[in-house]
Amino acid sequence: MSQPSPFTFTTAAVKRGADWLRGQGADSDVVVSSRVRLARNLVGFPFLTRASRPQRQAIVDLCRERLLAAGAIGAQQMIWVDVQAAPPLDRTLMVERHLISKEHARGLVPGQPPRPDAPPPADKETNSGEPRGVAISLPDETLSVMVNEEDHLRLQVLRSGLELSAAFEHIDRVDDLLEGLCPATGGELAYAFAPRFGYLTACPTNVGTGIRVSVMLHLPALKLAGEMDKVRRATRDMALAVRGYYGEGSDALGEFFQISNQTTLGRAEREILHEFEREIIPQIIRYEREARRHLLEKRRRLIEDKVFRALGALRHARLLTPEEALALLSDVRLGIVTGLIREVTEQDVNQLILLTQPAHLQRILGRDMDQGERREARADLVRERLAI
Amino acid sequence: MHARLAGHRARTPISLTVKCDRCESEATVHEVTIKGGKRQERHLCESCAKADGLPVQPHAPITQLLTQYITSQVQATGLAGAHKPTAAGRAPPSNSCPVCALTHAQFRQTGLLGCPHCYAAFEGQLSPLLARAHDGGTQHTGKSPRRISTTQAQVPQMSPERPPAKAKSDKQPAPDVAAQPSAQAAAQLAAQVATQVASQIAETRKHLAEAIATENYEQAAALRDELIRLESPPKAARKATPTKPPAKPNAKSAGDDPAIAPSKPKVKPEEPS
Repeated sequence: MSQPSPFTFTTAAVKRGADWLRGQGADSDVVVSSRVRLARNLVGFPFLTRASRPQRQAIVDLCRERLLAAGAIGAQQMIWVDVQAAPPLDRTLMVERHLISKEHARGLVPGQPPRPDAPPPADKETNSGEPRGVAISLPDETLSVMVNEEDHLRLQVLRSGLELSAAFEHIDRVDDLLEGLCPATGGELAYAFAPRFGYLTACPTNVGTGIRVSVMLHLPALKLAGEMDKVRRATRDMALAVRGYYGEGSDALGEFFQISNQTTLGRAEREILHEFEREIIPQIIRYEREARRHLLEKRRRLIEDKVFRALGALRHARLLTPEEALALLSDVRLGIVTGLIREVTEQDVNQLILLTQPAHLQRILGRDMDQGERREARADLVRERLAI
Repeated sequence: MHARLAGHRARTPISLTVKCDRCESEATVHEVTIKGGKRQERHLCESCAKADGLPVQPHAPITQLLTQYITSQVQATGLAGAHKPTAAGRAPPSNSCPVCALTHAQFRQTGLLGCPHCYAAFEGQLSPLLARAHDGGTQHTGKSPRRISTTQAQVPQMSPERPPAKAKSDKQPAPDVAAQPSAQAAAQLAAQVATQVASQIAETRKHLAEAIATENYEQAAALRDELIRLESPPKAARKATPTKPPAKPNAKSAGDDPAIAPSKPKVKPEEPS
């Protein structure tokens, strides 16, 4: 049996929030965060769909060692979290912090039933018990590398604002480091690759560069102006995906939208990146800003009412559901970026969006809470943070 | 407000005001089919597209794409039943990966492949699917590993030339296997590759025997050719013409695809910064 995870997110670390939420970086009035991820698989092992339990464990052991060494070489402190052994709350915390996917928290390869040889874990509803883990850079939490998600390795860099190039340079360096670590450790990670298909991935939709470039946008004015359908259609036509705050399958709550590329074969990383950074996202940013200006000019009273009403509700509510909190925080964020609200910052709002998530609330208060209790705790936390 | 997104690239010109071919509504589903070299476009609104049985979801999950593709193939060739899932290990070998034994039916169910070799094993079935999923893209371009793994040597159908290393602003392009920094490293690498190739030869021999035993001569021929290639000197192996020509790249990519050019690997011009 695996040892319990030696690492856990402390209350202090949780309260501090993640670096990518600091509300800085280019165009942070519209772009909340930029993310770049690479999918990689190792030579000598089947993909996880066909990997036996010992093979999965071997992949974890191999990658953990290399990742920790890569952290040392890259002068970045990397910690390893054994996701298989991590308590449910820690796993959910990592999902809420965008460090691992929901699938990784559960340990199921999407579309795969639980393996018959997997030991029944105590919490089998939420944990398959399959060997898997994640390496995270501390204290900034900018870099995370999931081992044994859908692919052997899923590298991710997450940054505040529109910082795709910087995120790519970072992930590219880590990718090279993992691959090139031979002298000290006696071997490197050999990636499965074929000239025609590029980096080989379990799902053919990721094959090629294995890159997924995503940008989280806050588009309240376009939503209010009824222009979101146009953005959706246009991005669809460009073979891009539009998703909600928590990625695949999540709704666009609180006017937060994630836009990401779908094409990974036949287009180079930098081509995709430049198109995002120089064409697609700047255009959407322009439209959102234009819509904000238009709203302020033509419907100022309506916007003022909306944002101050939201601030008032957050400052006085005694019960808040996660959906309501996110919707109100989104309205307040609109007030901040349009200069109507000055006493609260973008970072405050970004942090609150994270801290009002269920697992964060429970870690901050240090106890398990049911839904009703969490509503109270959520309202209390928001009142405390936004107090005049 | 008249916010409109202009076309971003020539491949998918964007027009937000295309009307449905059938009615006055705005077309949201666009289909391009190439039949006998002829391009046909259809622009439909969601309800007309639904009526025509087209997927209105812009990015259908891969499983859905697969199901549609297989269904159309089965209908076209009258092979109904040929893709029925069979008990594990009992699938016809021509329809399964020789390395991990994943059957095409299993792939169809989950949308996930079993191992890196599946790409070669299912290349024929995957090619149209990849083109659909990747906006017409059929040939990798971009970063390649610092060291080309032996996967390349294990996959006979794949293109013999590696794509050019991606130019990087802050460093040299990824070196070729032949361009390792030191002779020692090169020797180490050569030894490592030799070991891997040896085990690959043994593996291929095993699969060849199995293929012959199951009278799967097409696969056996491919495996035999792969053996010949693996057993030839490494340098020659890398440059050898594949036994089967690689899947024909589509006309669009053939012209500007550096990976199929026979010249030395060249560095892609630096993108504008």
